[in-house]
Amino acid sequence: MALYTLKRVGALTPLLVVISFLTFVLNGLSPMDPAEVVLHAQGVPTITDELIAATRAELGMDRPLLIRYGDWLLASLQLDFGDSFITGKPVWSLLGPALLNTMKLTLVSSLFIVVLSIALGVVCALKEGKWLDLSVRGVSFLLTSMPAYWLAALMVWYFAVKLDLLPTSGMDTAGSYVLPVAVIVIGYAGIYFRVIRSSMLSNLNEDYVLYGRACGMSERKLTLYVLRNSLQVAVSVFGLAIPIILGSTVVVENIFAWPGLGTLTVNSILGRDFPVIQAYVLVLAVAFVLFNTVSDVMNAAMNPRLRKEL
Amino acid sequence: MKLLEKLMKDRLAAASLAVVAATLLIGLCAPLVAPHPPNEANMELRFAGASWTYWLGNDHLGRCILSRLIYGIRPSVLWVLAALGAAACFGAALGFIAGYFRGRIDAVLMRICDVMLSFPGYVMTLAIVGMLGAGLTNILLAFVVMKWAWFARVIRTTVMQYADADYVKFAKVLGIGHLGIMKRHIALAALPEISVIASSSFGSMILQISGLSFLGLGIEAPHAEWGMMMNEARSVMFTRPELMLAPGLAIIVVVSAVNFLSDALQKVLDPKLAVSGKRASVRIGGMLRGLRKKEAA
Amino acid sequence: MSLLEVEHLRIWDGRTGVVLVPDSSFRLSQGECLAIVGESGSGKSLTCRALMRLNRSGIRQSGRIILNGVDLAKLSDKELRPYRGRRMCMIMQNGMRAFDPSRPVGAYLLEVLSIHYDWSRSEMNTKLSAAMTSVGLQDPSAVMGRYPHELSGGMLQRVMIALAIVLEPDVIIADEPTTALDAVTQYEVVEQFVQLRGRIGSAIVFVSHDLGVVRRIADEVLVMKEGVIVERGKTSQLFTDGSHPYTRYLVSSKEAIRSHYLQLMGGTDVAEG
Repeated sequence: MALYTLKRVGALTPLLVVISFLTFVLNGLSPMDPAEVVLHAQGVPTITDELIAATRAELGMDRPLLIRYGDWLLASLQLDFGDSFITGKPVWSLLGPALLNTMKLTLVSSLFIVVLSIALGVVCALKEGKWLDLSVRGVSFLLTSMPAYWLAALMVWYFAVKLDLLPTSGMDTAGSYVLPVAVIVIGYAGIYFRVIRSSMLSNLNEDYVLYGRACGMSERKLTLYVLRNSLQVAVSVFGLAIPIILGSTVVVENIFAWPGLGTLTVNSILGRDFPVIQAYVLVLAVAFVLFNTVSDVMNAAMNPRLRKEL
Repeated sequence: MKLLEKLMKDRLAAASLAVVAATLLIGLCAPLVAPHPPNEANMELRFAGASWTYWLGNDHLGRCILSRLIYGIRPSVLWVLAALGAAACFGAALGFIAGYFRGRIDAVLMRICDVMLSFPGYVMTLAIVGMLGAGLTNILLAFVVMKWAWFARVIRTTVMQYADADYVKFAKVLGIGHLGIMKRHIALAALPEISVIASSSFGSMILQISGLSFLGLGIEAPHAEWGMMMNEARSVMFTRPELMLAPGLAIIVVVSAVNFLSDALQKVLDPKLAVSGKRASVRIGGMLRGLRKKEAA
Repeated sequence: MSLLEVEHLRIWDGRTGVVLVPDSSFRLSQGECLAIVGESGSGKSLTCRALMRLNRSGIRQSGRIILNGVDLAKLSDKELRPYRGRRMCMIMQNGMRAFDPSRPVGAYLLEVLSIHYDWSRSEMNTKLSAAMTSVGLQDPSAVMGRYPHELSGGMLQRVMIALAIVLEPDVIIADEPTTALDAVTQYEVVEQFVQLRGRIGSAIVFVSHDLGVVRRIADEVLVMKEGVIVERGKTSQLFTDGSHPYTRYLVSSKEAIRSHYLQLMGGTDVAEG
């Protein structure tokens, strides 16, 4: 197992290097000179060419690309992403707490998504074609076609304004989790529910279920075995889900004024705060790769077929 | 077109196709269909309800909501479709090169594909929009950058299969330009999977672009776009929630139609997928593809 | 008295109402081997699964299935369960897919045995090892420790036969047990079935579309076409003078292939069976 884990991590390292390099190069694509952005942000009244040149030197932008990349990567590994152009504070002092807040939201939501989709997926697979299955599928289909922010707006309007039950923004109390989590769960549970359901169904149709039944095994036990085999797929899917949800809370955070990554990123994009954007992309890419590896390793631990192959 | 015939037998799919086609048509002919210019402000009609001249009422600047909805099809749906087309062409070209020449070009291109496919799409979009600045063009560009790898993969595999097919070898022996033959066959053979990929990403892209506009990262202010309309309605969300209704429903209808169509297409193209659970791996592959649907919605 | 009597078995699709097997009756006596032959889709598998009520939930069935005087059709699912495996044992077509992929084969076998017998663990192990050795599986304990994907189709087929030997059922139902195997393994597995008949007194229902195999192993043959039993009789008789045109067609096409094969192989009968 340790060897397998090492191999997976080894395979992903080049990927991380490529991604970080892309992230870095993206910076160079910007039509606006970062030096100009910094000067604007500092409120310098007249921007002269000398000033720009001086700022560029200050930012270290006159050196060759690869050297700058190397420096940036080394610094990034120590969580030093430079200073924000807008506030002048170190990027990590902004990003760190925001990441933590978003993680909280993501983990709580993921937990509900996992529980809800497994429960619904299993029940619907066992009741395939019955009204319960059909109605859950119909509703989930509709919900996946719904823009998250629209749903969020509706829910805010109804629960927070009409009924005055829940807070509309911030993350001060446990109650403030309810609406954002609900929106994320509603948006995603449908997809993962479908994954579990089809995985269950395909396993239920396998010959080993028939043979087990023919050998006199009880339905309850067979269902358990099918569930275990279906969850192997689920583990890898959920492993991937966490970083996807992590990144896509942008809209939800924005609506509920959640002080997380999404809010920070949107503000940074609007303010052209490149170091923050860069750090955001890198952090999420790393998170993605990390969760990917974790889910692969967990999957291998559960699935003997994969383990032996490597 | 056997495919179309089969698709039409599924009533839901036929209805979805009709909705999508109608939306595209209305969007194309927006100036002819829309009852009013979309940006014509009329402060006297602020927040006016539905009337015979303004079927869906007016927004906070007194603009005709129906007209804005109709013009909104262009960025929300038509441009997304164009970006999808561009991604498909770009991906197809690169995939063809990779599959045809193989060797080092193939290896390099496929490595790039791997990176693109493993990188979460929404982060890519945000990164590109972040670096190039907010705006519709940059989002569309990000879509092309994000999606081409999917198409490149499919085309490459098909090219490789067909390059080894007997009749292509036969054509080679006969001295007929087999490049021409392959182009024809590959286009036909790859069409099913391409259409499934395209249709399943289409819905997610519509959701994404409107989401970004809603955040203010998309289209510029006066232009009509569905996400933008909701962004504008947001400031009066508590007093006039009904303004959120029309654009939101428009998105839901179009996206569900696209998704239904995509599902139906998948079923028609691969009937086994729909019937038995025997091909679990294929299904799960399809589902993972489906997962990406939601990425930044 | 017959061991197993099937009377007026009717199988239909509960959703569409399409009748798949309209009315089948047959009987099986102690130690006899009955082969059911026919093309794929002729209702062979449906029929033998119906004996243990194993068809998927959309498929309905009626008729009497009497095993040792007990009408299985009248039993509830719970009452039927002890019969499955213990009294009637199934051997599946594809060994590679018949076992739970995430458990070692041995764990599966022990679980099945513990459902039907109160043997101790070591007792089960001894019996399984003996049975496995007898079907030609060297090193039974290694096989038991393996996951299904680590064994070949032929080996898994033997594992199923070994399990049947230990369970000592009244009837063994083999649903195309040789179809998924290559020619050599096929031959070996058929040999195992032949020996099995000599070793335990179980009756066998052997479903196949391979007449060569059937000729080698069966006492009696049922020929099915589109859900209907079109002909039945002693094996030897059926092969020499089948009366139904379909039987003659099956036999002649088999003979044609065989003689063509023999011609190609220079007249030596290599793969008899």
